[in-house]
Amino acid sequence: MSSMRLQVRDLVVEAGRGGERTQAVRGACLSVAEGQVVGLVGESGSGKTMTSLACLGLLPPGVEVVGGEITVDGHAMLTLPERDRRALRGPSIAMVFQDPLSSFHPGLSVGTQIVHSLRDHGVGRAEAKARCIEVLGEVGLPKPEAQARRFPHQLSGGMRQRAMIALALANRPRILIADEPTTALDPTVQAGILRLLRRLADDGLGVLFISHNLGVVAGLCDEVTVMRNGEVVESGPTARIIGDPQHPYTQTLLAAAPSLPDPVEVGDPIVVREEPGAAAPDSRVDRDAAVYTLADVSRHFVSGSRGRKTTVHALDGVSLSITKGSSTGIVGESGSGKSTLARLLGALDAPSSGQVLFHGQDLTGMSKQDMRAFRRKVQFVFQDPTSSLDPRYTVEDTLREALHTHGVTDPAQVARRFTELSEQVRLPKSLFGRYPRELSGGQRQRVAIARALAPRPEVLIADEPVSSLDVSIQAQVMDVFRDLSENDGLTLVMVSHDLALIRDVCDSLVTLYNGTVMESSQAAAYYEQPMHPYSSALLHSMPNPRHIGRLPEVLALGEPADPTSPPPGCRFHPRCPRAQDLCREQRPALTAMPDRVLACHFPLTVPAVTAEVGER
Amino acid sequence: MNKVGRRLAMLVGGLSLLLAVAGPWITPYDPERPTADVLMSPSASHPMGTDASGLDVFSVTVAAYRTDLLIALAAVVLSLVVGIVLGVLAGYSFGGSRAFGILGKAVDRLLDLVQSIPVVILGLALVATFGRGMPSVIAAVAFVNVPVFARLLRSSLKSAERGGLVQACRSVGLSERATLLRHVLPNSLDSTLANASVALGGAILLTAALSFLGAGVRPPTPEWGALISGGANYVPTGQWWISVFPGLVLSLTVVCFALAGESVRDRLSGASGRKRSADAGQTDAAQTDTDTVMRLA
Repeated sequence: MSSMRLQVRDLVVEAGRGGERTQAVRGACLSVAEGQVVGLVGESGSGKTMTSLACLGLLPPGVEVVGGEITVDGHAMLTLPERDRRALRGPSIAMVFQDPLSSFHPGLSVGTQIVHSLRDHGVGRAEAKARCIEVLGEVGLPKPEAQARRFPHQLSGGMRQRAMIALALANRPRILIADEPTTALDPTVQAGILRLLRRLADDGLGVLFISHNLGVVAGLCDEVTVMRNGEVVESGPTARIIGDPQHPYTQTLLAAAPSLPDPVEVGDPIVVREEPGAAAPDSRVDRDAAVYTLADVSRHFVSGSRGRKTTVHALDGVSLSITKGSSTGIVGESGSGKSTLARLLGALDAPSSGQVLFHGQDLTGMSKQDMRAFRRKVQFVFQDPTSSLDPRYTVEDTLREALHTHGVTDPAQVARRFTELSEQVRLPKSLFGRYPRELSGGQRQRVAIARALAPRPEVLIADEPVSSLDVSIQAQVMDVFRDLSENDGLTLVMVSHDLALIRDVCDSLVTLYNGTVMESSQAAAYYEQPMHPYSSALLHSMPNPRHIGRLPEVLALGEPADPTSPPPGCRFHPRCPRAQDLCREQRPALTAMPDRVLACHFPLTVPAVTAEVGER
Repeated sequence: MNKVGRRLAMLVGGLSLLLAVAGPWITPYDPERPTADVLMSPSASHPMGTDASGLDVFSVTVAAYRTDLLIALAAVVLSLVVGIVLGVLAGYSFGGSRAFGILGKAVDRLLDLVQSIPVVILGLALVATFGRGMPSVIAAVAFVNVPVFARLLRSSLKSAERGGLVQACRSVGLSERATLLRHVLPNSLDSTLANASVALGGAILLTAALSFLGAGVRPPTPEWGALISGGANYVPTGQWWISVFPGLVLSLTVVCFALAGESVRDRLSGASGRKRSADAGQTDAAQTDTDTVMRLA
């Protein structure tokens, strides 16, 4: 068993002080061999992070190992004194965390930190410097000498995570523990990091990859261990665990995991005008059916004072309309302007230029009365229910207030609405007396949805409504949204970075990049055959649990453009594999096609991608 | 500061509060009527001795407790009320209202201005204008604390406004007033209210300091600072007890209030590691203040 790099046997970890001790990990077993990537899967509270911290001997105060064995690179980690453990961290075992910004020292350059970690293990000054540059190159950072001099905040999210991996790899460890290393990243960037980890493993590194995302695990890992409530429920080769799970819990997880299933029925299209900035409304749009019409809407955030002004182009010349009863997904990477657009639609923010029309009425400069009427018709669901609910209000208080605000004050009527809302969001009425802290994340989000539904709105805008929830809960909450849009005739606008997740819910999609519309189309057409290279890149970057042993593709080079200085021409051209001189010079106009509107000089017309993405 | 220390502080603070309430019934002599014994050293009949006019130091010290505590309490309550109003104006945007935006900036600068005025000078000025008396002292002590509370509330409102709750309230269609009064303020007041308990100790100290410098309450009223200042002249000639006993009681009270206040604050706002270290800093500050008064005495 000389190739076994990390072995954990019957690990028991206890947390808590005094009499109240809980077992965070109960008899976990796992092993990682040379050149192997082992996935550790579980939802929050499953004990996966505690297991990994125990391997490093870095459990937080009050948490300790009470049983079992951990062997790291041939050393019995648990019996070693702290001094010897420290010597192992780096040369034998290293870790990468989810958030590289908080793991780096903000005041030292990346290179300095890597050199420090080498010097701590007795490497000479010159040698450490050379190794630093070498390892930065190894993780795929361009111009490693220049990157070494930069500070963590100067790097983009993906670069920072690569630098974090470089820091971990500096001392040539045999084992790398990666705890949700790509969770905070865009799928397009995630795909690149996953490929890097795979390459490192192929070169002999043992990787313990902790994730809640079965799609990522399916593509990257050789073996999978599934944990729940501190116990290992199933483990084995990826093909068996993901492809043919035996344990009911793994099956539940897999059923809830977003993948790209069969096409759904085609809904109403979004109609986008051909020319951004054209003032006259398109005659083809049935004006009664259009709930929202956006004409050349921009939102710029200006910060700094004279001389040092920076302008963030959150949205630039967006024109679109949203039809009554449709459910529209707004997709794109972080910084693409999705949330800004949603906030404009909800009148939580005003455009810098252009018009947002709601049933033909401009949202800016509305009278107080009209605004009140608007608020009743358009409601919002936020990403984080914990912060959007008042901790001092019970569920009932929250809902009652929303009803009272919109004139429902009769007690019998209020009680009737409570029952209706409880059914609509599938939240038992027995929970109505509870405070938000006494509810689970999924239940809290249901409360937030119920609050939004209280005034019987016409439009419901949801900004990443499930991204703070566990996978198995995400699917349930998305079901609520689907019912609302299908059965209750609600017009739904949903912002999401997860194309797989919203597939069941949305019938049309608007793809944003760098504040501009790239493609907006019927969902079915989009998933079957994305025509914009950016849409295609997004779709291909989505991890899919069905793709065992196949990593997501990287079809967009680099990372999202800086919104403070958008590139000329087509915004996407610096990352586009099809870019030509025309793309660099001229911004493509939105052009109408039968089933979509597109802004691209050289759209993809060959349905080559369909087979890969649509398969199930 | 460890738990035991805080418990002890709570105990001593509580006992001394009892002393303040029960004062008139337990003092052996009338604190405002001189006895025949002048400048007596501590003895069985006068446990802390008597001063130059024949007042029993123990009786005056106990009676002074009421004066100082009353002034400090009134000042803290007054500054809390004014501080909350100013904090709301400075920290809440009222949905991006232009008028409130300008008002908020004005309040910010006003708070800067207030904090730049030295309190002792201000106290002297108030006394010069309105005469010696409780209202002047209360106003001066409250004046110092207003910016502290206003700033605390301002910053918690600012961060609350960036948070989800305000957004959610607006999107539900609540009026700005309802959002502020029902949701934002109740959830933001914790730290401000909690800090009021800490401010009490400081307010007592400041009250005594103003009196010590002659900007306090009118002389016959028993007051620690006045007592210490009156006795200071006799320390060089060996009559130390007039200043030292009230000085010790003052220090003990202030430290106990500061520590007890921190316990109250932590219990109210949920102690975290970061907060605890901030507390430690403030305790040090309170102790330095105490040392200063001791040195003055």
